[in-house]
Amino acid sequence: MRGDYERLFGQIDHLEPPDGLLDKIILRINTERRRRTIRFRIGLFGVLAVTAVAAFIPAWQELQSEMAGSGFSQFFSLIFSDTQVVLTYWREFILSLIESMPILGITVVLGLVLVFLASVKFLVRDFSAVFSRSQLIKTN
Amino acid sequence: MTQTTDEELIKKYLSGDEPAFRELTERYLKPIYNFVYRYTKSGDSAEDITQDVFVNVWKSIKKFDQDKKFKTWIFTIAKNTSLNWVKKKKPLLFSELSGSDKKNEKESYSFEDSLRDPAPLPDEVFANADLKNKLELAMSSLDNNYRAVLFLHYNDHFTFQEISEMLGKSINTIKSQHRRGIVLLKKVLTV
Repeated sequence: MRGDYERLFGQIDHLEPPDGLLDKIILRINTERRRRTIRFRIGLFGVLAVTAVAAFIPAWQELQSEMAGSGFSQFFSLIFSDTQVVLTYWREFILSLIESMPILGITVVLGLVLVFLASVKFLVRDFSAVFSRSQLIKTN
Repeated sequence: MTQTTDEELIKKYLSGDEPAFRELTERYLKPIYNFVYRYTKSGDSAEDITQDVFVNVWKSIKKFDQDKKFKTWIFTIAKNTSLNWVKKKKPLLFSELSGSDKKNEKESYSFEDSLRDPAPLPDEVFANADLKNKLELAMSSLDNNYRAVLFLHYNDHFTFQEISEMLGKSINTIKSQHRRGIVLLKKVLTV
């Protein structure tokens, strides 16, 4: 009996999908994939930017105390108070300055600033991509 | 040369072979478009919904249980997407389409349904020159539930078990709707 009805249903015309539908689907999937990537990137860079700002405060405080402890500030202030002496013994002065420099603290602070700036740069780029796409959809 | 199975294509796609998904889409484009069209009766809407179906498939393909049949899964997505569309468009019709079968499930499987399948179609039916139009008319006069079951069984070649999984109804309800649909269809065709 099933064969009978399958034969019967075989009489019904099957519609052909509109031309270009397959390409439209693939395009939509690619758009969706891009949107998903952008969403992920916005989340990632957002978290990075916030983390960098949050970590900057203790890192800066740490750098300040390191500078005070190592005598770097005192050496540095000689440039303004005893310029003549600094110029005479500039090699020794630079060496002392480098030795007393809190390298780790400065690296951390600069690293955090760089992470923050890079995150903001990528966030702006991703947001503008989302914004221009939504504008494009609106105008279409 | 044997055709790559759906499951093989999915595995290929999941392991990074992008064109495998295109091939899968190409394979199901026509059946899904026709399936969706049966719900919407509009080419434009069918096109939009078909796009949504494949985007939804792409979104959830990682969650697809590869022990199950892909065909049943994609048609289930198509059914749900179509019903969502119908629900947004015509809330009243949705209730007809989704069927309040839970309530009537027990009573719908009556004694009549336990009888053997209806007799084959008489030859005169096939001899009718206007069979195609008559069939389309007959199908459109059927209740949505019966029509869906008949189409899925005879047109899309799903088993009752698969249709029951797809529509979320018991197999007895599906068999019952199939039987009633066949009886009504035969009645209309042999008039």
